[in-house]
Amino acid sequence: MRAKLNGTRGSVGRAGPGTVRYGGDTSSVEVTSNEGATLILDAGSGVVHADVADVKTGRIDVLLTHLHMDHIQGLGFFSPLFEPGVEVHMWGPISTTKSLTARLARYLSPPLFPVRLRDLPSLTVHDLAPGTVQIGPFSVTAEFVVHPGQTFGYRIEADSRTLTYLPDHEPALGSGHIRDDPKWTSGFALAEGSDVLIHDAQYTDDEYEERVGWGHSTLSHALDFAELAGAGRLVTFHHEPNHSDEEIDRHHSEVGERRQSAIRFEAGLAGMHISL
Amino acid sequence: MASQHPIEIILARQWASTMSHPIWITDHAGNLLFYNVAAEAVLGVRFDEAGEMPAEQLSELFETTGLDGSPMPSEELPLLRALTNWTPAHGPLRIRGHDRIWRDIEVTAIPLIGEGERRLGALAMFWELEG
Repeated sequence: MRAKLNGTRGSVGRAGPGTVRYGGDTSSVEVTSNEGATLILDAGSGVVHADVADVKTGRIDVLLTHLHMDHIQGLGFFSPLFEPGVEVHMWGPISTTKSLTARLARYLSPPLFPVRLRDLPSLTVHDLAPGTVQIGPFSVTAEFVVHPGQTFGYRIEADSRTLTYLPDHEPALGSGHIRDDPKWTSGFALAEGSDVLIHDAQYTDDEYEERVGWGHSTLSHALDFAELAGAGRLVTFHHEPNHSDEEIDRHHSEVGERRQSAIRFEAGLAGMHISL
Repeated sequence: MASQHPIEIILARQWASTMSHPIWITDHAGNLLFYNVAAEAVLGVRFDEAGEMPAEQLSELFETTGLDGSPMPSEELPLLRALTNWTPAHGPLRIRGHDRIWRDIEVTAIPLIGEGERRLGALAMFWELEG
């Protein structure tokens, strides 16, 4: 299994000379199994960079963690949706009030977008309940995690490897002390023993003090969480739009020196390839 | 994977720990998961000492009757009604805490049902009756 980070920016796109390496596109990750099956995790603006021109299976599955705009704004520009012969399956968190189709149609319909969701013939939408589903070679476990609104984290298992994707996650809100007790830590069951953990690290410690409850983590939180879960490698994600490449580098370096963590960690770069 | 409480329960505990009135949280089977500091004063024992507890052990620590001292079948307790019917339940009762003191309380129990109709547990808010 391998992954490619097509969009790592949080909240809103931020293209410019200061955000070239970590990128300006919002959340999207492409996961490919050894046999060539493809999963897309979130469809922020980065989804347009997915290598989907040569999908071997004729099917692509898109897993949405939640429906905040920075995770779905690329959907209307996801070329397989308009390509005959390619089957697209869209999965997202279940709701008691409206179907996933109805919720997505708020965006994919005029006046916000010229094409209606119902006019995409190759699309199948799945309201996903917490639990595990098998999608081709991928065993996908979805659980709700701490973030405003219904938000899933995903644990993807394939080819004897595990990738956990928690792009928007504030475990500190629920437990206060992340290192204390796995049972009381949001997302722990998803991340436990993962080979690679892609996790929200939007804020510095100082920024977080002003943004408690906004649904995001600091790098310190992400490291605490990765250590608790025993993850093999942490890739930070959902970078704060106001942070330049230099600031992200400096912050990761400072926290790395201060923490001396046993966890290998790095900031997720735009276009980064991860081999599991 | 290791057992981890659903986030609805995790957030309920976080919320309860900031409240000044007594709150008790159970899982779907009635096992005690948490009660807050305000509840400790009514139950006569700190949660850190009592800890999480299987439902069947709760009656050993906390005895309950009707307000007149008559036996109260467990299925009539508001918390168990909430967990059985998955609707809110309310009622008065007398409880003897770990400190062996009987107290008259009134309880409102609310089932915790997550998205996807997941029956996760219940929380009970209670307060001591005056006089």
